[in-house]
Formats: sequence, structure tokens, C-alpha cells
Amino acid sequence: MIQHAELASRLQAVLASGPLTRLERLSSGASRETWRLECDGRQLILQRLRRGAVTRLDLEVRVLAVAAVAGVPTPRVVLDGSRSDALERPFVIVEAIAGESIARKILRDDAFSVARRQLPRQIAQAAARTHAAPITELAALSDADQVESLRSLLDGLGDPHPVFEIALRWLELHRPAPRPNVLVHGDLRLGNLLVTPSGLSGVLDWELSHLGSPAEDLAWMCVRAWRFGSGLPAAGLATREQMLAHYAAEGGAVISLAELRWWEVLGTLKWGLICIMQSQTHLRGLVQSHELAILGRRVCENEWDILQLLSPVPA
Amino acid sequence: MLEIVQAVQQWWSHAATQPASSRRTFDIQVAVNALDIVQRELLDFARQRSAHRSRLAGLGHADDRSLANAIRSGAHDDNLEELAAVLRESIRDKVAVANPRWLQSDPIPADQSASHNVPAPQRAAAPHNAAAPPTE
Repeated sequence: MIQHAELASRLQAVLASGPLTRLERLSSGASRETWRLECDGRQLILQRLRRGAVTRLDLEVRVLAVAAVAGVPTPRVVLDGSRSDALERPFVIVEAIAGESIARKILRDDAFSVARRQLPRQIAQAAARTHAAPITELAALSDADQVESLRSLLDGLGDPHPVFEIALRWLELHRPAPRPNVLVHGDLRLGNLLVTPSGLSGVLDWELSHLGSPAEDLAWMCVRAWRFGSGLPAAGLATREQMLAHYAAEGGAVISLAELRWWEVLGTLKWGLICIMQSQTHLRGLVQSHELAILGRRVCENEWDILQLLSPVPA
Repeated sequence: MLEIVQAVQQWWSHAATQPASSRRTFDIQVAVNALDIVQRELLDFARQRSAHRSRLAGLGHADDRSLANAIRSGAHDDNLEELAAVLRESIRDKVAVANPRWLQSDPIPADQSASHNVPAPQRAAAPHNAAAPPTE
């Protein structure tokens, strides 16, 4: 394994730069590690796959380029190492974008009060531009049916979950009319957006991007977990109606509340299944954490939200 | 329940040897919350289990597995909404144990952002849950 100093000198070599003046590990997601670095006065971000990660980083680099051309604020790629072994594992280096990503700060701090007024339109615009991007070069992205994918995910989890079965069945019986596939970000929500006091500065984390319905991105940000305690459903910033109206005004498709609701049921189901998977990581002894252990208890929050969404009476 | 108690116990026996830190303080809060969950569950477990069993029986099922399989097979396609209404009571019990605050609606923040700059025609705000089902 490369040590810190070794990584710094290898980075200097691949960047053909002066010595690094900063190299700091930021976080480690499930599939990759993120580093902040500084050299020759430039602020950069390194993302490197973890050992055994199966993500197609080369595809993600292509998605970033396509989204940038479409006018989505994305980090500019400085070095595409998705096929390189210079840092042992595939990597990509992008320019750092200034901005805050912590949702609760964006939703609550006074510093972001102007941004909060701009964000619904800006997020809708980023979504509309993403969905208008040409996908001819992105044919390698998955276009799997989301209901089918979630059904196999649920089957892999073992225990019976009647409410999730109701959701799957309901989704099957009420499918909206199909739309032509577009580029879907796949995780569009606060936490994956960079925000400055004046508004949206970057759309990050494209690793779940795929081909599908534009309504999926708009509904995902409405899943209750992504409201971060706010009473406003769309990303904690706007009503569903407002977000849909902004989206249409920015050139996106006209999406009805009913279609949005279908995708919100699907998104809530997806998040519930992810919670189960994360808590099982603890139960199998992979990660010892009581925080993860109680995450399993909170799966019922998603079941509750699904039943609220399916309720014929306003709850 | 057992898995939570074990997780807290394991963490505590490790944390007891560690110096104080903000991370440890945060973890202690998480552990306290976890024990709150266990406490609520112990207090209401017997009632919740028997109430859930009678709901299942009312739907013609002996356990969750049987109900889940029947839903999957399409046997309940005609009464999915009724099923949802019955299960909602069991899920309400579970949430009341895991995170009672989730049952209340979230507070609306003072800053009602996004009320400006909205294109006028589609501004009407019908309650989301009252929306008609999507076309099939």
C-alpha cells in the first residue's frame, strides 16, 4: 500500500507539478477514497477507487465531460487516471469547486439565505440540463429497469418485508407511461451539491449515473431522508409543485405530481433497502458500530413513508 | 433487541479504554439513543407482537413471510390499499419504538425559501397525497 509521502511524490509525477503543498484525506465512501491536494497554487481533488471496487471510473469521467458540455456545473477533469496504475488503482483528479456540501448548514445557516432562494431553480436547471445531454456516447451506462433491480435487491436481503412487497407490487401495477431514456444523475440531492452563499456551484458524485426516466432524479431529492428535517419536500428547499414548475421552465419535461409520486415511492423503497444493507454490514461483523446497528431499526421509517405515500387519504 | 445491546456493550468496552474526545461524546449520545430504543421496545414488545399477529390473522396469514409471498404472487392486487391501511398500524408501532419523532410531520423552517421566482401557472399546491394515481 502506498504511504502518504509516496502518494504525494507519485501525484507530483503524474501531474508534472511542483511539490504538493497539501495532501489531506477527506472521506472514504463505499467504493472510493477522496483526497484534497494543492500544488502550484491549484486546489485539486483526487478520487481513487478502493481495492476491489467495481465502479467504471472511465465511464464516470465520460459522464462528467458530457454533463459539463450540457451546461451542468461539474468539476473540470484535470487528469483522467481511470486506466492508469500510476497510483495503484484507477483514479481521477479534478479541480476543486468552492462551496459547502453539508445539507443542514445549507438549509439553516444565515450565510445561505440568498442561496436558498436561488437553489430550487438552479437545481431544476442542473437536472434539466443533465437530462437534455446527448447519451450516444454513454450507451455503456446501465439502463436496467429500476423496479426489477429493487426486487432482486430485496430478494438478496433474506427477511420478509411485507410493506416493501406492497410497494413493489404497487409500482408494478401503476407504472407511468414510459419516457425515452435520458442521462440520470442517480443521487441528486443536498450532500452531493456544492453551494456558495450565492447559490449552486457544483454537482458532484456521478458514480450512480445511469440511463432512465428524468422523473427519477426529481423524486429522489423528495425522499424524506434528503429533506434533512426540513418541512419542504423537494430537497428540503421547495414544494414538489415548485420544483416541477422550475424544471419545466428550465426546459425539462412536464412531469405530473402523480408520476413524481410513483418515483418517490420507488426512491423511498430504494433508500429503505440501502438502510437494511448497511445495517447488515454491522450484523455480519464487517464493521463494528452501534450507529449502524440502530440504522436497521430505522428501516421502518421508510416503511412508514411508503404507506403515507400510498395512502388514499391525505395524511 | 439483542443485537443493539451487544453492539452498545462491545462499543462501550472498547470506549472505556479510550481518552475523552468529541467523537467519543458523539458515540455516547448514539449509545444512549440505542438504549432508549431498547427500553421502548421492552415496554411494548408483547403488545405489539400480539397486535401484529392478529392483524396478520385478519388478513389470512400466519406470519410476515406468508403475507410477503402472497403480495408478491399478486394474490392481494385487489386489496393492496386495505393491506396498506392494516400494516400501517404495525409500522406505526415500530416507528414509535425506533424514532417516535418520525411520526410527526417535520417542522417547516422559518425561511420559506423558493416562494419567489416560481413560474406562475403551476403554482397551485394540492396536497401531494391527494394526487390521483399515475396513468397505467
